[in-house]
Amino acid sequence: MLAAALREKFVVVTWGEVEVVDPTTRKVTLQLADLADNPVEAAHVLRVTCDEQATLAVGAAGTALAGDGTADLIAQTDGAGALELVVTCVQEIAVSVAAGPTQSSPLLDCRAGAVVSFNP
Amino acid sequence: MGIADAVKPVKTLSPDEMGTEFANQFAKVTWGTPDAEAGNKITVALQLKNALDDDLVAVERIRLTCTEGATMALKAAGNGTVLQGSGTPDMIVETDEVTGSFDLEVTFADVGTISVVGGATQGSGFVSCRNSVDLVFA
Repeated sequence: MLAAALREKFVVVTWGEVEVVDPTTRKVTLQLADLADNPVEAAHVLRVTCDEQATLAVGAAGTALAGDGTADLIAQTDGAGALELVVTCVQEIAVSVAAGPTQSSPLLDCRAGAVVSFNP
Repeated sequence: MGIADAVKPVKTLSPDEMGTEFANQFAKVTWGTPDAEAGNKITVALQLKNALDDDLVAVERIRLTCTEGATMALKAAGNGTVLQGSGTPDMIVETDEVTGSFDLEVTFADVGTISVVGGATQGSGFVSCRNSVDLVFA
């Protein structure tokens, strides 16, 4: 088994359940985890993008660094490794959300994405 | 032999002792030998390897860029998928789920060397893209 200090050097992006706020607004929280699926409680920078028909903003957890309210957001998780995203879309579609590394990011595994449905 | 030598086997882990499951968490982009130029096109295979340098059978998302003036696409009937940018010098691709490879075709109508580099992008895993490939068009 890897030591915790080593596991935390490899950060995996995971996604929580999508919360319906209103017909055009959803919330979903991105949580950083280690290779053993334990939460990584650290503030890290990452880029989050989505379909152009929707926009992304930072909610109660995390900090927007650039692009808040657009489809291309650079944000920082909070000290618990969480980033709450508010996804807005006026069309009745399923919006794909993807994370990725950017300037100042650690080693990130972003293979998991989120699908946020705005279908009624 | 001192006590340090005696405990060394349990304190160090050689690459060969690394478990495959762990090694497969880390992908590395490698390139095959380019095919001969034909009709201003050169094809070359990108193959994922794991941390043990074994072929890695996995879908990995990679951004490929090349020298300006050339364009890139998936080789006809080749392995892999283009997500965006086919026919341009900036393409986002996925490796094939059965082979972990992507068959790249580069087109260049002039004479010179075209460099192709990979990089992590949205939706990528732990992938090292330090290896690039140079294609010589004569």
